[in-house]
Amino acid sequence: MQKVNKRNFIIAMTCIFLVIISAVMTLSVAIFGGTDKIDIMIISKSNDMKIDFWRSLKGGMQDACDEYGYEFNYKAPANEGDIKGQRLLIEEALISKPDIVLLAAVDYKAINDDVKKLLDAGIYVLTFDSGISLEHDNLIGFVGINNYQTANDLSKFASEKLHSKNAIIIGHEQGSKTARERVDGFNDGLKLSGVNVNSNNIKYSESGEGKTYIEDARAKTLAMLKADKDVDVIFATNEMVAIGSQMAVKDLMNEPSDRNVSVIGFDGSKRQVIDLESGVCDYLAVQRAFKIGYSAVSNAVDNYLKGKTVGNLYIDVAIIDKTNMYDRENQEILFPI
Amino acid sequence: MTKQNKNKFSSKFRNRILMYFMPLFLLVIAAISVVYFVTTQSLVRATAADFSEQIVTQVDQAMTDYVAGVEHLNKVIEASANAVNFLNGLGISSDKQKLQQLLEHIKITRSDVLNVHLIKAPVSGSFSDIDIVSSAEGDLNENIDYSKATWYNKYIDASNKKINTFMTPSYVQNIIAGQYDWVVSVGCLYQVDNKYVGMFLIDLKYDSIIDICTNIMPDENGYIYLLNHENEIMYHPKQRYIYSGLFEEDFSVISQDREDTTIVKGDSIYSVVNSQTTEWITVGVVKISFFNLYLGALPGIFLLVSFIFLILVVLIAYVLSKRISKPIIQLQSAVTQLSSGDLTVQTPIDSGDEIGALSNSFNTMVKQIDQLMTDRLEDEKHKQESEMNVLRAQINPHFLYNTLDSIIWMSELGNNGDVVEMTSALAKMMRASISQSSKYATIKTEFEHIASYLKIQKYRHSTKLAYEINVSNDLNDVKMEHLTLQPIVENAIIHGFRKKTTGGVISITATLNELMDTVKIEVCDNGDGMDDVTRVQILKENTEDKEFSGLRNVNSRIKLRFGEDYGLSIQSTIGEGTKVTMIVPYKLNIINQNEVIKITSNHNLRDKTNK
Repeated sequence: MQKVNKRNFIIAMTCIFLVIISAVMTLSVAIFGGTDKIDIMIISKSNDMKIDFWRSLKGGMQDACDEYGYEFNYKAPANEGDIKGQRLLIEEALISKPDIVLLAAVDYKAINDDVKKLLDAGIYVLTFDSGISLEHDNLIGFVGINNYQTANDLSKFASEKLHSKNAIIIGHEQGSKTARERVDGFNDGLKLSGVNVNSNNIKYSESGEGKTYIEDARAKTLAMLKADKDVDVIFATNEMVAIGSQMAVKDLMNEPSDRNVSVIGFDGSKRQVIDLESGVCDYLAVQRAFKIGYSAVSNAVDNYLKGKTVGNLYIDVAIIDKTNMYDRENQEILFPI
Repeated sequence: MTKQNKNKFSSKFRNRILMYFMPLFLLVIAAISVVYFVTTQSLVRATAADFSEQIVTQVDQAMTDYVAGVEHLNKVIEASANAVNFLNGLGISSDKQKLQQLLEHIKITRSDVLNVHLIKAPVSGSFSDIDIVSSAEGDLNENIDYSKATWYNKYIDASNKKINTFMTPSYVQNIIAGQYDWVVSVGCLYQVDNKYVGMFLIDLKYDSIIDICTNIMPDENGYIYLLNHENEIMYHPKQRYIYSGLFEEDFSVISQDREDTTIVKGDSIYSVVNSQTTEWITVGVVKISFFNLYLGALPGIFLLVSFIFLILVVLIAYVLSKRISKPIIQLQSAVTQLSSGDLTVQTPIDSGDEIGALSNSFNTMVKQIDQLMTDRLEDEKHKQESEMNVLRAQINPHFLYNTLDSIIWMSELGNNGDVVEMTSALAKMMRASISQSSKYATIKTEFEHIASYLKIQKYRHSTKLAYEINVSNDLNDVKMEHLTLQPIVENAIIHGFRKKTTGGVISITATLNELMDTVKIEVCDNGDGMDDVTRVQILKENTEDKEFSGLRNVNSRIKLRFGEDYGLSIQSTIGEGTKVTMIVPYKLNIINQNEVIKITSNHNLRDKTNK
């Protein structure tokens, strides 16, 4: 009986000590910031900070990383079509083994095998801006806009501007999931109203030999406009092809012609905004790039910590025209500080 | 076993004391902690609120100075005839150029000013009446939509309210083609004939506002934001977050009646200060958790110190409990020792408290018990010795009466020679019996004595008594009781030869047994013998029968002296004779009971002194 008492006493004492020790530890951890560092590697599509979208997105990611206290490790291949470059970065990630890789895929299927290696290696992957066609337990999900839906919405605005039954789509990199979805969304929307849609994808790889990508888009758009004189709506799927298209339209306007072609484009760079203000461009679908960047990081971290993978997180898109471009909210989107 | 008991007891007792200490200490710590946290919490809030208020007031002052400085630029415009002409619509294009130069000069004087514009905009007119002279290089934006321009709307608003200056929220200034810069503008309105004709618009670089408002809070999560008089954001560090829907500012803290307040809401302290010119509101947001972070280290230190003290208390409690329980354990162990029969045990406790008193009482009690026991043993010994003396005394009268009777009888017969010899033998015998100086008799002295005795008896019973004594000289020194043979021989003569008139023979032999440890002394007679009843009766103790008291005494004395293994035994056959055998130890290595006790007692005494 006495022995039992003694044992109980010792157990009780030990428990009290353990509780106190753990309390002290927890508290000191809380005070001295012993949060677990999560190693995040961001493999983006572009590091071209002249492009507002990527600058804002990177800013959002940077802010989120700063806020969470994680190191900001942002890498991107040479251009948005550089599959090889992105593969190298993925290989780099396989070696450095971060906890999470945030990936904006340059191609929706060409890098699947590489990404699968990452996922199989126990690295969590979240895609942002442009996803991949892959399913895996370690794939956290996608953060970006619903490209198809946005393009589909834009097709309704296009219908208002259509006088003829012809429209063209200038798409960007063919392998990009974003380009494909935007083209499909717009196409599907217009098909219902029986509009003829021609589309042309501008490839990064083909825009070499002294021509810039924008110039390539400009030339191809102009060619298409000239080929089909009934075209009065151009849908451009990203900033650069939109700028190219707008230039093509301005080129066309410089020639004696009574054509009134309106451009509906993705993104909201300064050159697009100027054309929106001057009326060359009618609608801009501007992504909240900062929000996408920030949400990609926060979503990845939250899900990683909770150990669950969720579906896609779609960030809403602002559709801006001349009338609402100086609205308080849209100023922030169009002219990120 | 004792030690185990002791351990069990001590651990239980000590643990109990520890168990009382521990919750008590924890309770004290908990109580102190609660008081501490409650007081510091309110203190922290008050300090944080004061602190926040001070910072916000500072920022407001800085902004006031800044805006006053900017508005001062207006004086230059007011003094310029070109400007006045322009606003009145009287200017010519060369004047406009000069005016532009003036504006450029104004702009250059202040690095925090992005651009200044003099805008002619009669309130009653249409957009086409608007004319702008700007310090900015580059063309004016032809595609500007005035109805959407922030500065224009503010101008109309101010003129309607008849306010001469206004501040815009932060916005993108698109007056100049291709330039989209974030600014906060100060507008100074001009009237001609009580009609607003235009304004001087100063675009402040957004960065300069940022400079005033950032890095002033010591806390990363604390910040300051500015609203204009219409509660539109002039500056907010989280503007991006707000418009991205990632963050929502709680504007409800700003009172409608423009009062400076400090409100604690949730985890934040909001300090609202309205500028003297009521053009803007400065709001400071401080996270209480930040101050708690600073103070937050304190509970940690508090806990750590508590923990260290807890260990100390455990140690102290352990030592204290040991000190408290030690005398009790000593007392307990002493009692255990006492119960096992050790009467010399004493507790070395010398404290003035109850336990000391208890211990002293215990010591006294044990001493008294010991004394009582010693006294009782002494008494027992005395009693035994006096009994022995009585027994010895019992022999002497028998002998004397009988012998004296014989001497008298011989004298009457006139046997003087025999009387002499008998008296001499008696004298020898008496001497032997009186001179019992040593504790033990020896076989030699005892046999000499019995020889004298038999000589006397032979004189008395000359015809019927013959005797022989056989003893080896080797046995001369064997110890035996004084005068123990005599009663046996006496009995043989008196009782054995009662019916015999002649031919009585008594033989006395002493032999060593084969084991060399006992000596057998046999007294044989050829007398009447006795039946078994009598034989048994003779040596039976505690009997009232006085007839064989002599033999019985001898037996008792031998047993008393040497132990129960020794003494007398009787063999007898009626008509043939009786043999009384006395067994005594050969060497006196067996000690009697009295001496055992005495030796043990001495041993303990020695032990005690050694302690």
